[in-house]
Amino acid sequence: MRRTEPPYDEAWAIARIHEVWEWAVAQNRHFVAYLLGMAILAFDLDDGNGKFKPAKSKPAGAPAPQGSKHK
Amino acid sequence: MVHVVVGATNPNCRGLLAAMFRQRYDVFIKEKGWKLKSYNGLEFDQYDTPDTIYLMDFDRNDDIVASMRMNRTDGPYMLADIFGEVCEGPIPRGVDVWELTRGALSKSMRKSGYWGRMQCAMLESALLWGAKKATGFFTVDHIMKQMRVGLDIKPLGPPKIVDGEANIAAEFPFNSQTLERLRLSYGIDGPVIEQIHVMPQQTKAAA
Repeated sequence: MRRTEPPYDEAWAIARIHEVWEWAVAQNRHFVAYLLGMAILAFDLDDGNGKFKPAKSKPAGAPAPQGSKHK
Repeated sequence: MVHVVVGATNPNCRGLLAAMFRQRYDVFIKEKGWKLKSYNGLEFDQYDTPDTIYLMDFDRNDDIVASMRMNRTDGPYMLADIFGEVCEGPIPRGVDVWELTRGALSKSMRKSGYWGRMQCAMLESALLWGAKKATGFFTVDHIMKQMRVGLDIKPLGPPKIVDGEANIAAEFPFNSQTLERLRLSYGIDGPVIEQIHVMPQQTKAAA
């Protein structure tokens, strides 16, 4: 059987969350709606105006930095 | 106890209004760093009108600790004029829909019960004036806290980042059930409004 890439991308994901957000508002599930709203905003913060880039984790066993920055 | 002042130019309340505009300068410009116009250490704008209703609460030394601005939405108002694009559906409007803005609590009072009294005073005022619904553009953090104490706040669109904070347009009903829930949540037994200062011409009309 031929495997294909799943059709997931950012626009797809935002659209799906937005659909559930609309459902939550219509159903008066307001706490859920706020959290989904924040999830939609998170896409923008990750790669949009917020330009959020998570810090790269330090590999285990990496040597401690040498010297003082106040030299 | 909470004072209700009608009118940004109410001649009987110049001292109270000046204290509130100074507190707003301290909270929104000095502390939060919002880019707002100010005049000699006072913060006010075009939405401070003769019809605006203000709530103010004071400590034992008569220093203002909390304030809030409430405007009808049948004319120009902030959510419609400035943040209209954050609503996905129709923007709330009407004589009985109030916009809540400039909710200010002095920094040293953030853990006190003053904000609960302001919330109850807001509901009491709305019921007195016959307002049915509140709207505004609030921080998500603030809204989630208010939902936990009993306000059923419906989002009007997804959140947006403004001045580094996630904000969202929302609305909630003014009704006696909500007032009861707030009083229960904050441990408040009865009315918190001490005095209502109407504009002089309104006093004449009422007489």
